[in-house]
Amino acid sequence: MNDKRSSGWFEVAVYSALLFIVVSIFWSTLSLPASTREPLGSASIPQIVSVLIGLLCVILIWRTLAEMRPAADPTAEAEDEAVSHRRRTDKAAICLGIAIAFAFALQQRLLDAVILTPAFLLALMLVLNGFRPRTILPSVAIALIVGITTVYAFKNFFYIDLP
Amino acid sequence: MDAFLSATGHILTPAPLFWCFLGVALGAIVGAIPGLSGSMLITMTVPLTFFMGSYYDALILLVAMYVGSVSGGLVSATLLRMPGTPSSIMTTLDGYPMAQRGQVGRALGLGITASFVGGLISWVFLIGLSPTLAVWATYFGPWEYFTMVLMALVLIASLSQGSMAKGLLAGFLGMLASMPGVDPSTGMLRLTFGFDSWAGGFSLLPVLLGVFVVSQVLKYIIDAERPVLRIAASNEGIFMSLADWKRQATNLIRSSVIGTWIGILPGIGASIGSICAYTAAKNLSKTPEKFGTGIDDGVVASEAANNATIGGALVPLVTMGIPGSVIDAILIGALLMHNLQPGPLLFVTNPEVPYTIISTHLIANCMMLVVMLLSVKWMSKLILVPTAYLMPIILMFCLIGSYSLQNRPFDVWVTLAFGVIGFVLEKVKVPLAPFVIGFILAVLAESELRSGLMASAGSITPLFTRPVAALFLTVSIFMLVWSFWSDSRGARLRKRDLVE
Amino acid sequence: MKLFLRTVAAAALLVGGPAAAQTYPEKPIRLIVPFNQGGLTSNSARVMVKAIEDNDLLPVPIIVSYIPGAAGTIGARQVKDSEPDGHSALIWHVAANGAQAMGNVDFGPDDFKLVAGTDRQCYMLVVREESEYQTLPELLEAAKANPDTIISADNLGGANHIASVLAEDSLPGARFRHVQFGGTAKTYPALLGGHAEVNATSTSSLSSTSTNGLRVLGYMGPERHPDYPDVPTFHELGYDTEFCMYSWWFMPKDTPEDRVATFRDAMVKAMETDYLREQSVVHGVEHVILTGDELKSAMETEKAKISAIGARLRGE
Repeated sequence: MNDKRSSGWFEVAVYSALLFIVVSIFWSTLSLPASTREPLGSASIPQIVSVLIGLLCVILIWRTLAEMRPAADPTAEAEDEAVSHRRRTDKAAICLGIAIAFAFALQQRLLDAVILTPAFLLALMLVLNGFRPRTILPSVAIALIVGITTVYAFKNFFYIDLP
Repeated sequence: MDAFLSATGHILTPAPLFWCFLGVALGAIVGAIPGLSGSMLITMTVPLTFFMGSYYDALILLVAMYVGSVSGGLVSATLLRMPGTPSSIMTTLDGYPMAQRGQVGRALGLGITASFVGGLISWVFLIGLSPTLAVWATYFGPWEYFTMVLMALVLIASLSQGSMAKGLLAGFLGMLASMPGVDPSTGMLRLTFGFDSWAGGFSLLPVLLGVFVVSQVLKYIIDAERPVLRIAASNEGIFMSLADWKRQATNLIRSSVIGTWIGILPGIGASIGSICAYTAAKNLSKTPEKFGTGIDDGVVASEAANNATIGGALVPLVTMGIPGSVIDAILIGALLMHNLQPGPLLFVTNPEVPYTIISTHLIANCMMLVVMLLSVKWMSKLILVPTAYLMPIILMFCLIGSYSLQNRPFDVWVTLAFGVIGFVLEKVKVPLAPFVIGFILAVLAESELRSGLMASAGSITPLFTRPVAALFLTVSIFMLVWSFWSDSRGARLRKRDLVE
Repeated sequence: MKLFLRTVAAAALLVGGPAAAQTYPEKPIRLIVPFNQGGLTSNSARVMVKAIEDNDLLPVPIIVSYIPGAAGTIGARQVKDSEPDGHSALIWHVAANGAQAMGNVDFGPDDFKLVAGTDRQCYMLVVREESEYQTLPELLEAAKANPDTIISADNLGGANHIASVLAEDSLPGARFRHVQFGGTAKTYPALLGGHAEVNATSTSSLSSTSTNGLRVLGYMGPERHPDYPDVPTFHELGYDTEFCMYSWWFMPKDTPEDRVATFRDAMVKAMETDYLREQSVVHGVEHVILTGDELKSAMETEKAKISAIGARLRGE
């Protein structure tokens, strides 16, 4: 029950965010100059698509709210697959954080990619393995081998301009 | 015909054969590992194909991966009751119960052989239909292309899982995501919000890597602790007996034809083809109650159809440059990046390209049969690779791969951003396939519409006066009305069921 | 095979470690071709790179990237904004002036360092074989009698648009209806499918595609083209129109002059090879490389001509 409630609010939040995005996109298209050489111009198609998305968002928000209201609806739960295991949203968030840090380091060229990439791999592997002692050694080995080989391959073989 | 023979001749030389084998094997393994799909593998391979020297080899590798990945899914569907790729979802219904009963080898063998037959039958359609369709498609102008893209978008939105409104939302969001940057018709900048890095728009591959790979990795990490039940593979009874062939002949042909036809419809692919064929087999069977308990017919219908969609889906790809499935959309992206404009003219200007695709489909299918039959026992061990080691490597390839496209950190951010977007959309059950198709087709739809309007000086009458355009438009409107109607009827039905 | 060789090379580098030298060029040079493969510009780029690499005129490889779209402005913008260290270069053509003149982008040749100009070639006007227009005067008279009805397949702001506008200008009062289709990969199907009537195209695009079914009405060069001896020039038909263009080679604006010179010297030397001489003939372009004052004046002439058209089109 609670679960369904919160996922309903999550849905409403997502559609509202989308609504906000399309409104700002629509607003930004208003400043585009009309084309002199063709009837539609650059702005019309993005405007049409934004309006359609906006409409669909409103419909979906309305629907989601309507579905959330009849509280006596315990069977609806069956639609979702039964969750018998722990969902590790925390791990996913940490991994995403590590990936963002990696992208940032890549952009700022903070470190040589030969160091950066194995470090990135190792961090992810340790997090995913939950820092269990017997997984640390293989993690280090795999991270070093795969990371360094990949960076060398991309730099010298694909001529990619990595830091 | 000459072009077909020379393309086939080229593939039968050592290097292309090696790529074909590599593609089938990698595709089958990745297809078999739950959580990894063919779309992921192919998306991650595309950036690497630029370094392959010849784009024929690149095409061979990618098409072979496509064939392999759809087939590989059956291994985990049978042994783990988890579809290795979404297209094997129907195989779990009968494959796993069969395996539980101890008929592991038989279930795998039926699936593999049915996959092969499905692929073969769809190939006959592919080579039979494509050249004729391509000639016909040469006369397609802006209006025909515009309405066809419209039809593809409506089809995929209405047939993908989830509600029509969500499917459409996904499609439009994909279209919108392709619009920042340079306007395809006039070259003016738009929707860049003042960022210079947005001027080139969001490139296809970073978006695909995000939507298909990063989002799936995140999802997989969340569900990594899902308990897995596993049955060991065996080779016993892996070859179909003559009696089996006789009994399954009609089912094989029917399922393959259904799969091919569903595949040809733009935008929708293997999962839906497999579901339709399974349903048809069940409805036409004398013993429909046995479906779902481990009946041969179920495995055969599902696997014949999902492989048949590949050949079908390649038809609109090679003839019109319109993707028949999501993987096709990636292949189109790959062709464009190799500077080949997919479309009817490809048969005229570069006939070796469509024929390379066509012959690869055939050869990869045969190779799949051999590879799978011989290695399925060994493959079944691979499908449980520890994901804690695999997922980081996949994520790294995504990020470095997107960086390497143009040496731009911007693309890495695009990958991550679309990974999160894809994850969130999937979380609220907005399907991702229409998003990707919308993203790829929006440029085509917009530029064709605007070319048409320029040519007609702003009038939209050609939409109704050009017969093919009018036909496509009618189909789109019909599909739209029909699926909204069945959508609301379905909702009402569900409610009634709950009340009762 | 190439892949295999590179693997071996990469493996060798793994063993040997990176080279210590830090002089220009220290890493591969990225040459951006802002168009699809198959056209004039990609051919010019490809043969030049091959000549430089085969003769070891530069110690590093040149990586060609194709970034097509919007008359070349997408790829060009990328070079404009890249590090001015001599490791990124751009090959562009008349669209460099065209895109700016038409108001599509706010940058032009002045925002780059001009390295050289190569491969002069001229445009021609084509229709499909079944077209009712047998000769150029017929077409232009029809465009004058019914202005804005005959559809010209263009890439708005691109070279074929400019050429098509110049062609209609040769008969006062004649007007085509200019419709966006794109580059050769899009305009030829449009002609063959009957969705457009006329298209201006370069000689090299026409000879590099195996597409037939097109008829050439007139050549916009000073004299007849050796590959198309039966096609009259605009001059011969009494129209005072000429449209030829160079491939312009650019680097980012702040690239040091000595690095530009290194690259330019390699190009000049490559131009002297027999291979490039042959390739020029094959692709139907003039074998020429402009540097120094010649280069400046050619660029100035083109800019003046294009900005005049741009001003008129924008005023429409």
